[in-house]
Amino acid sequence: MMGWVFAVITLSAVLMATFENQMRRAILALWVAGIGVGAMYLTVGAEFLAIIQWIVSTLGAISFIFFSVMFGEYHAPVARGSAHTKFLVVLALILGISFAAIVGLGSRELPESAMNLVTQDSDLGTLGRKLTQEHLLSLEVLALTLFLVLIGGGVIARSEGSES
Amino acid sequence: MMMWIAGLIGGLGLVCMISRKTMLGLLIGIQVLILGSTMMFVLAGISSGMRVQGYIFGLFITLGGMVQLVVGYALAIRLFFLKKRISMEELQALKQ
Repeated sequence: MMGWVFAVITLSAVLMATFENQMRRAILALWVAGIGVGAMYLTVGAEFLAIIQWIVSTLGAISFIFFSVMFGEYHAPVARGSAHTKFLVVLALILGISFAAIVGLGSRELPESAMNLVTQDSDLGTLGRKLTQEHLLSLEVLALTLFLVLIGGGVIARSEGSES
Repeated sequence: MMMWIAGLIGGLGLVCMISRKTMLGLLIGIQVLILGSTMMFVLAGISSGMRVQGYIFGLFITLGGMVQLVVGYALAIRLFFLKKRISMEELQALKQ
């Protein structure tokens, strides 16, 4: 039952983030959507992922607020496209619904027991062992990517004056 | 039914990406798309009996989402430095 409540909250927040004209409300809706998805993870026994999702969503929302204030978009209405873009939005809506239909129809039904089951193999220790023993290469690639992004982000965002 | 919700969230992210005209709007759309895709992997892992693998994939996708957010911010700063606004139409200025 709680899972469905969180699902409704999340879906409403995502709808608001997609169609809201004010950037600050869109950011707030994105944050609520992230919190809602984390809560849904909690209902299926993924506590570790729920906490990660909450942290990432909150930090993401803070950074969105920071950058939108910096770029002067925080209080400004979000620019929308022309008639051509509106056609694309309708096309994207159809694509999005088709995407949801394909995923929904093609996947197995989630077992009812999964909604409130906390299994022993989903605790933090097991996840850590799985990550370091079976997915070490993926973990290293992710770490290297994060490092490169840190360096690359600084290089891209440098001012012209510092090139000399 | 949960998979339908995950698919809808991903689809709405796609809509958001197309309808917004600024870099930050595009990044919001990408974040929503990533939320939906992460949920899909986690739920698919549960329904197929590979719960932990689903969680690990979800973790990687969430952190990958952070990577694209950082790159997006860096590009937006560069664009703002060059054009004083972050419209998507000005994005080609970064090629020059």
